[in-house]
Amino acid sequence: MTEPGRAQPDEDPLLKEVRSRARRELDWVKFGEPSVARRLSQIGVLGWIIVTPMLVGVFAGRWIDAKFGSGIFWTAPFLMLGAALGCWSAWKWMRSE
Amino acid sequence: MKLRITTPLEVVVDEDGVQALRAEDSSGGFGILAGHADFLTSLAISVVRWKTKDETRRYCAVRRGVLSVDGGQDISIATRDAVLGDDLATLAETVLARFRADIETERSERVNSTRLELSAIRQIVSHLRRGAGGIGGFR
Repeated sequence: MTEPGRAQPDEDPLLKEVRSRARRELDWVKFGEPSVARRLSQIGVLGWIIVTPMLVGVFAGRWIDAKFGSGIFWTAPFLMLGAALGCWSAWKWMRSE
Repeated sequence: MKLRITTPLEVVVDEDGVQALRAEDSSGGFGILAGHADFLTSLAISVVRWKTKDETRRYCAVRRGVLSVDGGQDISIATRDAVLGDDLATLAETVLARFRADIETERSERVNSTRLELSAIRQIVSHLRRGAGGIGGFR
């Protein structure tokens, strides 16, 4: 009857699973299913997280280009940089939700 | 539906009139209603829950196991370890109490077997002391 894991009853996987189920059930009873509006707002926020850094990049690029008169030499890389930053932070946000 | 949960040592649940059952395997949670196709899966370490005839919910923590559905009416689960409960919130406490009791039983069994062994040795030694002269002595 000596099984590994039996020595510390507090760390038994069975106990851990039971506790996590109980926690999920409690969450469900407390908050219920997230509403459609909430889901939509989440999706909206995700969009803005990507778009905002891109816009900031474009404006910064336009400003620098206007200053040095260099066409779109700086606008394009700033736009790319903004897109990358936006996607990265969107990814992080998604993981944390 | 008929539900039967067994461990190697006992039949934990043998119940008729189960309306619906939920369990989990490695692919996630699933539900079984009456008339389900024949089904066989290996459960994860998880909680099996079902709705009884009179609409109450019951829970059973299982340490892995095999679940099979036969003829859409018979559900049987064979598992290594099963702890039954009526409330998911207090099931963890029940599980913990069971573990503690198991450890206690194991300990007392070990003490008892040691005691038995010692008294057997004592018996043999006292027999030998009395010497081969006695009736039925060792020789």
